[in-house]
Amino acid sequence: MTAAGAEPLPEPEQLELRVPLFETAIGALDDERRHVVLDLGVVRSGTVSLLSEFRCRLDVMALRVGAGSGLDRLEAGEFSALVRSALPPAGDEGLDLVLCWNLFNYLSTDQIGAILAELAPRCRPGCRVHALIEYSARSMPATPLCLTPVGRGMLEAVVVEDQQVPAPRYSARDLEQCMPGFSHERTMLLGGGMQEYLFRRQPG
Amino acid sequence: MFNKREQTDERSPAPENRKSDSPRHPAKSGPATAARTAVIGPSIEIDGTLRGDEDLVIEGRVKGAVELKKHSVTIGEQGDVAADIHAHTIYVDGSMDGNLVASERVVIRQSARIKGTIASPRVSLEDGARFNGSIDMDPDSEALGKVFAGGKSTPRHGSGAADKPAAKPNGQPGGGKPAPADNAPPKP
Repeated sequence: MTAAGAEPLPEPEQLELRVPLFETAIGALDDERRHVVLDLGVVRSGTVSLLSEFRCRLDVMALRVGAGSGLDRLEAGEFSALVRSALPPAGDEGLDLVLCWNLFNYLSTDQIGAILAELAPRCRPGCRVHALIEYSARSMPATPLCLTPVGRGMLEAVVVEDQQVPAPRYSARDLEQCMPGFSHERTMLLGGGMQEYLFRRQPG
Repeated sequence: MFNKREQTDERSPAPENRKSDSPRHPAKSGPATAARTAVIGPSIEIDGTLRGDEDLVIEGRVKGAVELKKHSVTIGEQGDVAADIHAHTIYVDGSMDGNLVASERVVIRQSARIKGTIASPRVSLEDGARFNGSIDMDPDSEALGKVFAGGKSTPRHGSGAADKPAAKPNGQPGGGKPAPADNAPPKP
């Protein structure tokens, strides 16, 4: 209920994104084996809900990027230390899937490389890395869209800030070059100018 | 040190309200022995191992271990826990650093701040909660097996629609703003 005279808060802008490669990656968990999934970002209710369908462990790194995160001021060594401290203990199980959401848009290629360098030894051969990249638009929200799975092949995206910053518009090749040990598997152009990328950990 | 009170179904810590088919009164489906709730108040600090045969609400500071395998443990909004907790059901509203193992369910509410691991066949999390660590939802996980060896945890698969992902996890547009919880833990 709104107090008398108070302006109601504007509804946050939201859209739904069909994400076929995310569906592919999630579908690969659909067997009786146990799987380990790493969420690089802040975990959402929809992610937990979706993965509760599977025999799986969800690791959450909870990396905060974008406006106010201060990541752009960190030296390379400081950033790597932050990544190491935020990664949950690997245990004796390898990763099957890494969910990057739209975080790579807010990181430099050096920072992306630093994350993947930490992750590579934890990944099983064939481990997939899923990412969403702002590709068509020249700008993007200064704070990442809030992405929540609302099914295996659908994400709900909520705009949390109107301020815009330039989008790095990474190509699959750009990312592959900073991800040693991973190869580009597929790209899909989504509505809203985003591209969906899947990378795969090479054997050995 | 502990406030004890009779616990009725109405005052039970209820599970998340985001799934319409979730039971509102878990005590009915939970352990039949639960009749009372102990409360660790905000001014209390405990360092050691807590064991017992009743539900527990923590609003103070607890360090060590909490072993209430047949009962529920609620970390209230003022609760600050650095401990391993083994319980039937665990609700987290406050601050937690450690390992949570629940044979039935773990409910992480919007105000929760958790660093550590969770093992339970059913886990729900409200958007806004801060979590860094691992959530093991495999009913056959090693962590569950070790803690509840002999007393097998409730199997999740085939247990009904309550644990299937909802089309809109929060039951409302926006996804990021969960509905106000009418399932607040019992207040001391």
